[in-house]
Amino acid sequence: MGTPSEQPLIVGGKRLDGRAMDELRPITITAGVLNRANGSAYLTWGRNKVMAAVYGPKEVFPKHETDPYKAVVRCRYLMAPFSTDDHGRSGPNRRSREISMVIKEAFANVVVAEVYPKTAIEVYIEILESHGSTRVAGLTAAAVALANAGIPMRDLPIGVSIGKIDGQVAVDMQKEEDNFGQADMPLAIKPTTGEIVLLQMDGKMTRSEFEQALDMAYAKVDEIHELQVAALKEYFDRAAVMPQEE
Amino acid sequence: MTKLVTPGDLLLDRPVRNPYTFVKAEKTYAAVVGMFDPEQGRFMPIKGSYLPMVGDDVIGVVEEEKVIGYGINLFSPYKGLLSSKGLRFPFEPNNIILAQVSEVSEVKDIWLSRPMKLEGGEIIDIAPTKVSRVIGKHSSMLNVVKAATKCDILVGKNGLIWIKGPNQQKAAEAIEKIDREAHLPGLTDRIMEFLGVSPEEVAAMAAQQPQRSSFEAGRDEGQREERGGFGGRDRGGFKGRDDRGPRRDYGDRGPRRDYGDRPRRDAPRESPAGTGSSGEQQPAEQAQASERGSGQ
Repeated sequence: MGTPSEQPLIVGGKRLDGRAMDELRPITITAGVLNRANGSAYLTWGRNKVMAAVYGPKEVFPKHETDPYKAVVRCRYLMAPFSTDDHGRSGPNRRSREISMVIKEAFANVVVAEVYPKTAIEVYIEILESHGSTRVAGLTAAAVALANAGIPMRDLPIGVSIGKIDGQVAVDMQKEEDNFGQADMPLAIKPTTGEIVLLQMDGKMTRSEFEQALDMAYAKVDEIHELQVAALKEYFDRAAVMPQEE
Repeated sequence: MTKLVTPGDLLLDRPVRNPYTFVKAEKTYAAVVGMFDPEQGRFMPIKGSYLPMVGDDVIGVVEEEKVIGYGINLFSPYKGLLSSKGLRFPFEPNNIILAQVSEVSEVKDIWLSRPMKLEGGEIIDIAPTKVSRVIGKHSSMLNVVKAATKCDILVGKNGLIWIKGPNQQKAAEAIEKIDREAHLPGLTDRIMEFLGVSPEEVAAMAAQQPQRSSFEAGRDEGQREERGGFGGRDRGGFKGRDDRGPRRDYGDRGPRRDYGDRPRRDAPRESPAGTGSSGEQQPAEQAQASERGSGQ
């Protein structure tokens, strides 16, 4: 959420890119795109392009961060300098460190970390092109990458964002809606149980709007989850016929 | 009919604990992507790291020499440790060894024993979850590859496979094919087709080529099962600096064992000898012995 919009974000019942209020942008997911990572996924979500890679379980460095009872889940979310309209600075910043932390905590609730004590599971999320709601796109891609790496998980979490634009609740915020809308709420949900593992909110929504937003998010869970499962299935079918080049 | 399951999918209505599943409310759910056969209740994970189990034969690379032995890279999240105590031959970094997991500690220290150096050949790396497919039922799959390529093949449970023989490349390709297609049915037939052999030929070749037991023969059996501490070689004598701290507290050892009230067997034997050194003690012992004896 940024400054209020000068131009309307909803024209004739449709949003700027012609979507309905409860319509997602087109999503594609490809699993297993990187050869050197244990697991990886490439996701496009509207104009967002996200690459996620998972390494591990592996030895923990620095050693003092080792947990003798379970694996340490680590996450790095980074936006490439060329991912935005203005060329950004490379490397982590305050925003990316916060997002890394919330995504790490979401996955720490999902990964069965007790199976691999004394190890680290590292999740890297690189935003190659950003157009709003990149943290949920990154989380959705990272979940596929984790499953692709064979990391034991209790669920395959999905991310989806909800917001308020021109006084109406809408699903899947794109860049202009995020910047000029009234509220933005990224959510991550475990599809099989419906538990929420990530929830942030920027802006203002009334209680009834918040509840409406949650309902809209839950209505989209299966749609996104099915895409994740299809990507994993497609990967294992593809891996069977195509020799992997080293 | 097997189907692909993803993390969080319900597998069974009863609890089965396994690294690749998790149990919630007495039901078993898949924790990784894998193939599940609901009729047989069999779940095969497609990927996963090696989890050490006592008794596993593993293949590893000697990585470093330590004071206590060797650090072995097992291509798993955990390093193997091979004690040099009792080893007949030293190893060098980059040696490839086959060894058995003898102990896995609570914090996943993997102790190895019975090492055997693998000379020559090559190692390939597959998913540890597919090792069982490479071996096959009663090692049927492995016999096909061995017979068709006339290679010596050793399969480590950690997913490393050592191949040595005339058709190393072909054998490696066949095993990589098994790794890729492990979740698809009719695998043995496809591998036979890939290697260009028929089942009859495999049987004939296997009969012709007796099972070589290089696996057992080369083991370093000189490695003794030995523990430091009490008894054994280290008993008695000067044990180095006196920095061992206070003696361990063994607590109350309970009442003495009951030997009955017969006289000690050695007591009467010593008395007739009657050498002077402990002359004063002997009558007392004798008296005690006779006292006990009279009670009988």
